[in-house]
Amino acid sequence: MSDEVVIGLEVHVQITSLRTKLFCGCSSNYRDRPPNTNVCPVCLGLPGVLPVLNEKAIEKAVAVALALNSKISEKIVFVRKHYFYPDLPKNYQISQYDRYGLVPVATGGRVVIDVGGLSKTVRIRRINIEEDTGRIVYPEKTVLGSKYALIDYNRAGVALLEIVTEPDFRSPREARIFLEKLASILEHLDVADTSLEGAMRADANISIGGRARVEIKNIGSPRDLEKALSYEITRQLNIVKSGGTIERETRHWIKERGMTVPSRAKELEGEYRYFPDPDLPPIPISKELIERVASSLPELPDSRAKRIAKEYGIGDYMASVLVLNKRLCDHFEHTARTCGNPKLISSILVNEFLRWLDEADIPLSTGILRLSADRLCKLVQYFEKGIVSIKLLKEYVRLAVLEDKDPDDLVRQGITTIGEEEELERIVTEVFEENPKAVSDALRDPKAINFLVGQVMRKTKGRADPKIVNEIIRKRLVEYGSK
Amino acid sequence: MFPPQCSQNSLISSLSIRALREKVREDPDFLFSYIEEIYKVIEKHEHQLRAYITVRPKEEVLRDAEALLKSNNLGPLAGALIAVKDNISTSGIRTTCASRMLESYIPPYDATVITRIKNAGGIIIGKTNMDEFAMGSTTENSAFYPTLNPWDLERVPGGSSGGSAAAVAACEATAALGSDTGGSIRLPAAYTGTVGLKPTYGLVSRYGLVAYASSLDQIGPIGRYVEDVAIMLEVISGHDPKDSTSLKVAAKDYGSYVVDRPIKTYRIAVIEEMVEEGVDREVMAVFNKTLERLESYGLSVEFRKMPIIRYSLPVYYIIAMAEASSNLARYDGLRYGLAQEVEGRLWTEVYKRVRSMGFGKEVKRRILLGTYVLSEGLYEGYYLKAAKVRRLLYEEFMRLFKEFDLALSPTSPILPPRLGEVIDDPLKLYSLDVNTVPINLAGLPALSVPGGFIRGLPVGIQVFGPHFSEGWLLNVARLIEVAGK
Amino acid sequence: MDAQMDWNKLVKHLSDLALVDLQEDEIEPLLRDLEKIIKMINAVNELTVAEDIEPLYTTFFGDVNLRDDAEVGESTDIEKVCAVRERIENGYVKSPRTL
Repeated sequence: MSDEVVIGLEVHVQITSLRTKLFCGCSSNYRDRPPNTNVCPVCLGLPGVLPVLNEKAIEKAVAVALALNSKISEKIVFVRKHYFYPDLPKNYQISQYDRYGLVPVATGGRVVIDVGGLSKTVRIRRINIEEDTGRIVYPEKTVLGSKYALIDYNRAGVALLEIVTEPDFRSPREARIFLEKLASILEHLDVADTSLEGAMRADANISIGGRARVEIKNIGSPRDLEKALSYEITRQLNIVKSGGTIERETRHWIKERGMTVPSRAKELEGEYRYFPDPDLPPIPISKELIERVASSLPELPDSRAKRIAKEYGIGDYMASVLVLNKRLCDHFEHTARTCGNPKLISSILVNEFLRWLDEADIPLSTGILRLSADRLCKLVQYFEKGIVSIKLLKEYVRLAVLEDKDPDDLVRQGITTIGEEEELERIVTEVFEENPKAVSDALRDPKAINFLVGQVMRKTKGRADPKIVNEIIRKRLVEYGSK
Repeated sequence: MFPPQCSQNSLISSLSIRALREKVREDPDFLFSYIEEIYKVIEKHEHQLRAYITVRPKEEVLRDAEALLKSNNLGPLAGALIAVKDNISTSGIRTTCASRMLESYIPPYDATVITRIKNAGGIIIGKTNMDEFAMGSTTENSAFYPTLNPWDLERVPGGSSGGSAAAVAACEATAALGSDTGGSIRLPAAYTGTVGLKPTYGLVSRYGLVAYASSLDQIGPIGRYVEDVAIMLEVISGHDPKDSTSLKVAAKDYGSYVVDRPIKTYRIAVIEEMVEEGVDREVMAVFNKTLERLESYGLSVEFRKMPIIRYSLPVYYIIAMAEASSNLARYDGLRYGLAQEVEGRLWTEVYKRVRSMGFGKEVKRRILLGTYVLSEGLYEGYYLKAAKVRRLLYEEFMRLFKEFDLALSPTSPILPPRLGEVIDDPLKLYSLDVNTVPINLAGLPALSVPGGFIRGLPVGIQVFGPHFSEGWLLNVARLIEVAGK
Repeated sequence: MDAQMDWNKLVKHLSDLALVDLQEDEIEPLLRDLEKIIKMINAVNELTVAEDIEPLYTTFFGDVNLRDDAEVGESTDIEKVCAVRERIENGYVKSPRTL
């Protein structure tokens, strides 16, 4: 049996650009509000209330469908999806469905992603409009430690788009890149600010080598998606290796513990008893609306990548990574326009900046505050003037991202590249005196000079330009050899 | 003709909306004596009749009257004391749906119809008894107590708006609001000798009506006079942005249709299946007499077959129960309604406990059956199939109303049953609605107007027509009303 | 439907789905009634309906009301809705355990 990995995604995105919830006039911005202070009879599901659709939600859904190359349905048909749960006020969710002649807002579609320089097409299965649930918290912080749960309905009824892919991913990395790309598309469309806590959530289906399909829920970011899937692959392969079998099940990703755990067994899962919501008869999506939205679509990541690659001469790969995040790309363009050297800036952002964010799990917005355009420009200038070497430049980026260090302060503290040859000559002399054996080795074998270079770098705490050090040592060795 | 509760003391208690309005406009203080009079009737008869679940304290109502007179808002309903079925949300007044589940629920908002009644100068006098969550045809399914028929205290007033109809018939209110999903306004109107109208689907806002079967539910008026029903309809109808299924039509002057002559030479149809087997002979006699009277106005009456109508009951019950199982899912006891201790207990256990204690037998039965017809593998054979048959039925009605202006039938095939007579057999109970449910399935307007009496028991005539034909229905109802005098 | 159908099992399944428990004395009459009602509604199966018949889910044929994306009014007071004090804790609605 091969171990081919097959992954499909169900992504839930809040339409955060809407001012109000999907079916009532409560604010869609529920964050940081005291519990149950952003509610009304409709989103609380009180007896007798009725939903009335937010007209703007249709436009947003149509924009997303167009951006994902999906086929837009002729009408919006809402259904009720039934399941009981304390965070669901009506004990049914107003959603959409694709059987019995009922249709989601859009079907089909594709997103092209760049995986290590190779492009890959991910197929979209469908897009649904639906309402979000309330939030459950626990008085004793954990589910098991609490005798009861607490519910905040502020989020209940916020507009969501559910975007479902075909099982087209073959690795956690691909799934992650897709989710980043999707987030970027939504940001470019001004549909959602996916950086907000809980604004974008993914459920992943994964099956390895044709074995049972496992669903992982509760994944909050592209980074977590990759981690959760990698964890799950290891877990499943370990089971198989020890002779076990994979059960079809639903698991939860626990971010804090970096693992997936079995979800509560919902014995009646799948019995959702869908039927068309009689309170919301079908709403036609007019050709005029589609044309209007299509004609005002903003620049999307793919065309932006082409444009910036050309405009800044940064290469297709760099461009494709930058456009995976609208704010990152905005940051790049802004900085490059302000202080030039787009190649260096793109390389700093893609190769250094993103790496540290990922490693320390720092949100991009914080990262951009720390490595601001201003600081980035100064770095470029210091590099261009030879005040910092490329090596030190990278260190500056690390310190800025992780410790919010200002490049100016670092320069003031004298952490600069030692350009003065005199001082370097002095340090090289010291190193030669302290390591006579290494010197004689180096005289016999030119490869051994790396040790000497390393010693100089250590003494200068990395502030020396290794290229210059190398030249000085070679020159000195020649002098020694002739003696 | 009114039952004994009405006219014992004076003629005041049976005043029409218009007569009351004119008196109040002439002499505002008359309103206070009117209120006193109605409360006298309530004090005397309510303990027996039990039309209400909640009667507002007289002092509160008098205060409302004072405020009304001060505001000088003597609109079309000026001073009318409106009884409201207890499934219509009233801010600050308990709204129970005659269920243990909502016994203590006090809504924080008014239904759109309540706002409109208040704006028109009406005063809410109380909330009326009904079959629990409007599921029933006799008002015996109230979780609290059955309401009795004012004409014969051993009989049911019909349902599910039995409390509203009984309150109006017995002069415990000026007029009332009911709701009609499969006949719940018309059947009690027929059994209590009142006039009850179910509007075209979408004509009256459902915002605030506690849903039973959303695609069938409509709020409508119940009154002692056809004219009262016309005035009430005018007040409560019209577009409401809070209801997605509210029609954008201008309010009509329905009162102008309530005249003693036909305003059109109506072509009237009688659907044979609605007067065949199962219809009581005595009821048929009253019905035939009504047809003769209408013919005497020069109106034509023709019989037509409509075989598909036989499927109305199964189609209705599949759709109504499916929607009910969904609409009643929200009652879990967390936010409102029957409360349960939650600490240390699992949510499914608490939900089951609340729903088992809070819902009565008929409600549980419909929830379970509704769950059944929607479940995986059965959906296509039941719900989808029913929706298709509903289309066929609807199209048949459309064809019928190309040829005819209106149609008539007995509202109920039988006279009001005695208490306990039908309640134990669901099929007997459901068959009371055989002539009323097809109307809801097609979203048509229909009313029930008294056509005569058999041994002191009223017989209701159902008049129905194409969408928006309320004016014609009221006109014909007036002709029937006049003839009965 | 299967004549051999186990009614008790069906009712158990439905009551689990709908989260409605039945008291001991409710089950017997309910089973009797269910059988009758299911027989009644099965009448729709007698009717052959053409494939292309559009199901009719609503008789509302007007333009569906839509809403402007504008905030309306103040938040409803959750304490007023819940009425029973014990239902609320620090503004949250108390719920039974979810696990």
